[in-house]
Amino acid sequence: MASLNTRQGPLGNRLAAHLLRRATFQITPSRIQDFSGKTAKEAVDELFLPFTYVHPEGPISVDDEVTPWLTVGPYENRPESGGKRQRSVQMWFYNELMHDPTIHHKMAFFWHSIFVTGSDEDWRMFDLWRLFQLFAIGDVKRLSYKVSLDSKMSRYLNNNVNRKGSPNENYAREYLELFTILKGETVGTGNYTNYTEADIQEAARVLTGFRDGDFANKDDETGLATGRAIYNNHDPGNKKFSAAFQYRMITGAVDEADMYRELQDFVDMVFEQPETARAFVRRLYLYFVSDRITDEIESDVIGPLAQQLIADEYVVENTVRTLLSSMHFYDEDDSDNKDEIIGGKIKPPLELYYQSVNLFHANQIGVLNETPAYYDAVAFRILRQTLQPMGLPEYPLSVEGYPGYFKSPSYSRFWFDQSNIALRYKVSEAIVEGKGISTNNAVPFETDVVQFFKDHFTHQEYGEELVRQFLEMVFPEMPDPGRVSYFLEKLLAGIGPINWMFEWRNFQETGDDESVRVVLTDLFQTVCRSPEFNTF
Amino acid sequence: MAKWANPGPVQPCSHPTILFPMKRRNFLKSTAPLGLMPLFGAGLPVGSLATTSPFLFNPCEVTDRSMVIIFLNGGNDIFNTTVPLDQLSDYANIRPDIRLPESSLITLDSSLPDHQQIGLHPNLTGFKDLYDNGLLNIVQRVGYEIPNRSHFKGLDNWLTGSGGPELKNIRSGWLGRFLKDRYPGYMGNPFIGESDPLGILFGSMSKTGFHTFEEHSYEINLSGQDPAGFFSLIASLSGDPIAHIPESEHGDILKHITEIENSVNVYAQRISDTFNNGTNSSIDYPDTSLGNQLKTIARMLNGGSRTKLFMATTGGFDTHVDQVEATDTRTGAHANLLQNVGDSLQAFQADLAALSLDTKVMTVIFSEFGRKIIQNDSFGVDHGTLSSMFIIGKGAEPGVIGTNIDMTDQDGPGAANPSQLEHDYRTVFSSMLQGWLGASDNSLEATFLSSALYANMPTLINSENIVPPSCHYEPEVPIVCACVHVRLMLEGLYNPTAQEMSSALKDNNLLPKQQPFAAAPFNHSGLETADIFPEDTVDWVLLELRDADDLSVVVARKAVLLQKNGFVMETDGIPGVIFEGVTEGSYHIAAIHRNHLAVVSAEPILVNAPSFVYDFTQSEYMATGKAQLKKVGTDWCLVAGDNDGNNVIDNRDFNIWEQTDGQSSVYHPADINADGHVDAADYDLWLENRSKLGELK
Repeated sequence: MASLNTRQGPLGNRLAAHLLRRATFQITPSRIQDFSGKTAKEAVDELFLPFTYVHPEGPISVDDEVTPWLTVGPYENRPESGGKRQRSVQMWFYNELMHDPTIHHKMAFFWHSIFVTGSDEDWRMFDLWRLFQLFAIGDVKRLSYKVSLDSKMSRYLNNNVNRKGSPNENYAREYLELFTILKGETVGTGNYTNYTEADIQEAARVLTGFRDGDFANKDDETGLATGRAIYNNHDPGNKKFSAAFQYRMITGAVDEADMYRELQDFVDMVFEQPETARAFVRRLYLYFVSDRITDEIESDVIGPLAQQLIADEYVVENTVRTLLSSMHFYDEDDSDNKDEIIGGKIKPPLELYYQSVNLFHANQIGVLNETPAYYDAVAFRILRQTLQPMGLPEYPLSVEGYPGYFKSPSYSRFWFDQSNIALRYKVSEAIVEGKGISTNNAVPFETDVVQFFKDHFTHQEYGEELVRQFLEMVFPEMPDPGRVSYFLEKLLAGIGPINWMFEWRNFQETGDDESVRVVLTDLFQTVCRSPEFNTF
Repeated sequence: MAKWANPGPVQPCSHPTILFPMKRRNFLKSTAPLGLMPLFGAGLPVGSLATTSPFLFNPCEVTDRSMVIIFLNGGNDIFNTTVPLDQLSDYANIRPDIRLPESSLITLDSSLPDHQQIGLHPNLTGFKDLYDNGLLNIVQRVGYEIPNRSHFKGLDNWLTGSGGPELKNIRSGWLGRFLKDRYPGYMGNPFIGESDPLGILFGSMSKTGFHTFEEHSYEINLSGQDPAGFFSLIASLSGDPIAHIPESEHGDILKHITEIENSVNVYAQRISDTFNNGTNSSIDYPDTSLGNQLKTIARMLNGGSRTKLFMATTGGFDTHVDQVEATDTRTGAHANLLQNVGDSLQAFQADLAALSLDTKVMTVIFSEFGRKIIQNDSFGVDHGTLSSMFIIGKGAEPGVIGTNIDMTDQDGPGAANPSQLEHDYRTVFSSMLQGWLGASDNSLEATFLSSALYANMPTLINSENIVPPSCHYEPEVPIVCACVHVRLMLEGLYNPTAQEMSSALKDNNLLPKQQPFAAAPFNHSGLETADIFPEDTVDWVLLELRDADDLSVVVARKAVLLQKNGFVMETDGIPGVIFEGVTEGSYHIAAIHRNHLAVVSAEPILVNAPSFVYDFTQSEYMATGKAQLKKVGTDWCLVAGDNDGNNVIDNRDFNIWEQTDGQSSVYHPADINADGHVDAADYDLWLENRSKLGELK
């Protein structure tokens, strides 16, 4: 029986690394060590500490190259720098994500993967990212309300043209089908258990008259630009929902201000359905824990957590805390603590890349502090020539989101296929050489392999000991002795342990690392190009 | 601040010919990661290969045919291989020390006309046997214009399809281009109907012929490998497989990864399988490298391989010294080489016949150049020009094509005068690709990058076996539209205060309706026409997609219009530029203007990303090379003054200006600032930039 009871006792290296891999991007050798002495609760507490942005003001304007994004406005509608602007915002977000020791950006990205929009390269990108940051561990019901008003979303799913007399259902449909309660089994024509086609039409009516707004149109609560309500375009009639929503009727708004009340009523109605809570918890489970939701997981994990989420009025923080502290998360809720969860997912591209950068101390500079032109070139190489080829474009290719997170039946297996295997296996090479994955152009992430092995391990002159420490750090599970020997052989290079000892000592005495660098690089590359390293 | 006419870049090129007009809702139904795989060409979903093939089968069932290409490395001496019997006295005079005795020559076919009478080297009994059985065709006077006599460059030309004044220094290989065109969605994996690698390369020769600048490879190199043990070699993409996968979710994921690794490596297993499943007949092959390569090919084909192109190689033909034994010119190094070639091919053909594979395989033999006509002082011959190719197989139209090389018509240093060229080597390969494998004219053009090269193909396949024109395949290109948004500013036309360019040419009705790049040096043959110029048109610009790895390869080009705000648009005013028929992937963008230095994007750009704008105005680093853009106000502009469009700003540009100075109301390259008047303002622009070199120079 899967258990959400809190795991007791110090985590140890293996579980500390597991938690850091799954819940943050900042996994480093010293953090693993630090967390290994903490209990699950203590460690998770630390992940929920307040954090500070590297650049709280957002990226620098690509136009004047000085002004922070947050204050600079809509750039006089200069579309020509759109691509640069998109890269700028995205790299800024990834930079925050890479430096965030907490769970916040892992969660912000979760919302980005759920409340999907597309690339539009304008100033609205920042506002939506910031919304996800603000609500990272907060009230998802409120977030869904804010997203419904967001200009970028409004444009992406066409709610900006959803008007009285000429409804556009696109946003209403996705709000139910993909964002909140999700589609259930089709039990009749146009009846998807959790809602019906008629409900979509009524929801679309609720949403008539909400459209995108300009930069100066601020949300008082967030300070971010938001969309507008145009009462003339709003369908003022009452909206009636099906049995799936208990035949609820939502009273039509009487004026512009009342439109917000009406929208809130609709959001409340959707979130009053327990299935909505379950839908969010399932996605949290897929995101953090496992690709497999069995009946047992449904009853022992999803159900109780959904209850907690409802009890917390949809503030997700405690639900996520419970999940990440649970015996289940550490595979300790039955007698075999090695058969589930740990190492049971493919590392998504973001984790593969940024966790490698952090774990191997490859981050040489804060890229945002360079000149905008250089920064943009780097952004191009990382976003377009590294992450995108691995299957992670800045915005998902469809409103359904990135398939690797929530899409059955493949889930995380999506991230590893014939199309990206070669690129994934090139990550370590890219990091050793300080370049992008699909080109030879320089990026500022470069690991000094010798320095890494020198700084983060002990007794390096004993080859087997060094390899064992290294594998324990970078693999979710320690492989069997035969496999360890295979990796060790990279270090010994067919000569033997005494030779390695001699080589390492010679390096320590003379500082000449030429010889050890050859085999350490081989070991590093072989380990990072292994199937094991691609799991997490 | 200027007002922008339209927000074009965030829109897809709204052109009616986009093949994948997926609406957002429709996209939901597609589980495929379309567009995620820029490095893998067409972006076809890998998973779907298991159930559907993206490729059209040849309607006439010739997809099980193969072609074996044999390379004689070093430059075979054709004059001692096929002696021109109509010139025996010249032959004896020119080659007194190395000539073969007349009595030793094997008359190929006494019924041939005099100018094609050939005496085979006495060791080529194998070829005589093949000929007598109707299995051999010899094409004479083969080569290409302006032949290169270096081994490395010569072979490079033959493998890349380079040679002649028009097609120089192509970097990708024609074999790869052919396969890429034939299988446009190919992603490096087996697919239904073709479980074998499309090309297999034997020997130590360069892979250039197959090189296509794709992440996936069209060929498998079996160089020095035992095919039966090949599997372990390819597995080196990753590391050793995991011996013991644990029973756990972690283990399940490791299994998934291992399966993907194996599927990527599946050709290796398949090669081992076809080799192990196949057998040769009882025919004896010479125990030589070439004999063994051909024996392996026959065995793999017997084992079920449907690989399209095999390439085998045998060396030693660089016979500068002791080509013959002085005491007996019938013996020596060259005699042994030819014995091996003749006997190996005879055995191969006999083996294929015994295995009932002879209707499936054609062989073509080439060498990187011919040798000189004259002998040297070391009983050898030095590098020359023209040579012959040999076509062998049941499908061959038997006979001799082309005239014996006139041994008295030499260029300066004693080689066959290149003007004797009758058959460009590419027409021979084209004829094979079309007659044997069913390549259409379009496919040949894609393969050899020229339509001229298949205009005069010799007929090499006999009427029983030739693929009829109705069966020539037209590959279905999975992506027909590459949508590109580019922004650039032209120095001299750009007003830094208004941050836009002048549209004086349009305003004064000076713009030509036909694209202005037809003449040299641009030689753009496109028919782009603008009957009505869209508002804010500045001038014509020639946009090109260039190969991601090889800037010299122009993949596509189109004349388009430049707007005041720097965006390019089609002549119909729709923002963005559509390149039809371009395979999805990354390309460099080159922007060419008639009197500004052309620029090339610093990075290859994914062409199927309609929301992406490549903006040359943003920094000097947007253009390949140093200082290719010039900052004017806040924007970076193309450098003005290259009036003759040759990518150098020099006195010739001045001369053009000087000859035209004072003209008004003209559309002329000397009008650098495009105000319709050739005047001192244009001269000033030239002066400031003279001596600047463009990257495409």
